[in-house]
Amino acid sequence: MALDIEQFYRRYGPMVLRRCERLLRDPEKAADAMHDVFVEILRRRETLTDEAPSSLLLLTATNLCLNRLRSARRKPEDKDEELLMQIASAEDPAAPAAARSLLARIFRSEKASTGTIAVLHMLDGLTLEEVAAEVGMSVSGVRKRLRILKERAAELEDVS
Amino acid sequence: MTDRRLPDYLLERLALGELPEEEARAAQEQLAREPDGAQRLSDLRASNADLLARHPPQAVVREIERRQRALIVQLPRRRGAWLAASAGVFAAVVLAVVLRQPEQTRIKGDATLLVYRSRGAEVEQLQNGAIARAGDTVQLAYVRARQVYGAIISVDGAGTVTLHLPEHDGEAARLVRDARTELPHAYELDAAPGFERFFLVTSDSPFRASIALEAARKLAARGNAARTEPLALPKGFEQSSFVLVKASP
Repeated sequence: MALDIEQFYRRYGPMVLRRCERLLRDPEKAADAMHDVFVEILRRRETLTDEAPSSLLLLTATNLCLNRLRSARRKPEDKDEELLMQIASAEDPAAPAAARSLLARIFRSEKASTGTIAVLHMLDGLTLEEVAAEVGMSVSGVRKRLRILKERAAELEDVS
Repeated sequence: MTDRRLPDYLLERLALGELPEEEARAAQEQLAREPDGAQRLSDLRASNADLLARHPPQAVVREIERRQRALIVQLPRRRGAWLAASAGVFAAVVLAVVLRQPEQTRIKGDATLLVYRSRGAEVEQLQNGAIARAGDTVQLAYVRARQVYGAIISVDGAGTVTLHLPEHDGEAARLVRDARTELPHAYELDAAPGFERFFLVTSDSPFRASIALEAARKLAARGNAARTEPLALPKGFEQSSFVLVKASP
């Protein structure tokens, strides 16, 4: 798909930046993440031919930010951030080391991860049906992923 | 639809006009029920202008292009017939990647096979038809725009057929929409002459990988035709392929 990057950024950049700011709570880190979201999307522009890109951009931004939160290990400042950190750490406790690699970070970001699903439902307030539509899964599949993540979070709480 | 507040996530997509028709109608109705619904849309537009002013397009595009040109990644320097390298292990030595858009033989469908090569101290994303040599380590990945079932197999110039996904003959893997997924193992090219061709076979319905394998074996038996001809698959299957041309030793 031929893309005018500037026009693409003008249309979607603010949305992506808002998403990154909402999840990372840090304007500088959010701007940095936004650039990587566009780099990643442009790498796979061939997937943009038959769908509105906003969904793909938001999902990629969510995953990428979750991976960065997982590496940051900072103290949450409010309930939303606490929830985000729980989701990030419950999804893949081994990720911080791997996330130092940009490639690994990007490859991780490409999956509609369980963490992304949890953010959409638990933080953004999308219904299970809306989440399923966003990530291309069945509602039961989404429900199962959330159950697994909650079990994992409970295990982590028990350990700590 | 309940009377909950329209999630910002959906508001963003509504404002861009990218929600499916039915969802857009429901979102608009929901927004109309909110006392500040119209204001939320107005605020979003104001925020767009503000963010574009704070992050000017020309500067952002320059930075995006700079990151595209030199993406620093980490890859291993391991060798072996099959490298038990997970995506994480595949990232171990800092290298520069030359990013290029892959061109593929897209016979049907929108599935995309991606092939990366680690050779010496460099990693690159290969284009269809790239020259490869025995000993090159390649990492396969796939991108799928929607959820389907899939199998990845290869046929080489010696007529050998290899199943890469799923790892063992059985049910085809379930491919996730929006995912660029690396296969769990990197793969070292052997000395088979001529070519190495990878096929991504997909279907909306679950299928046995043996269907794709059998089609690949039949094609492999046709010698050099396996380099260019499609797999003879039953109706309902889609395929794309990616060929590496083997350089003479």
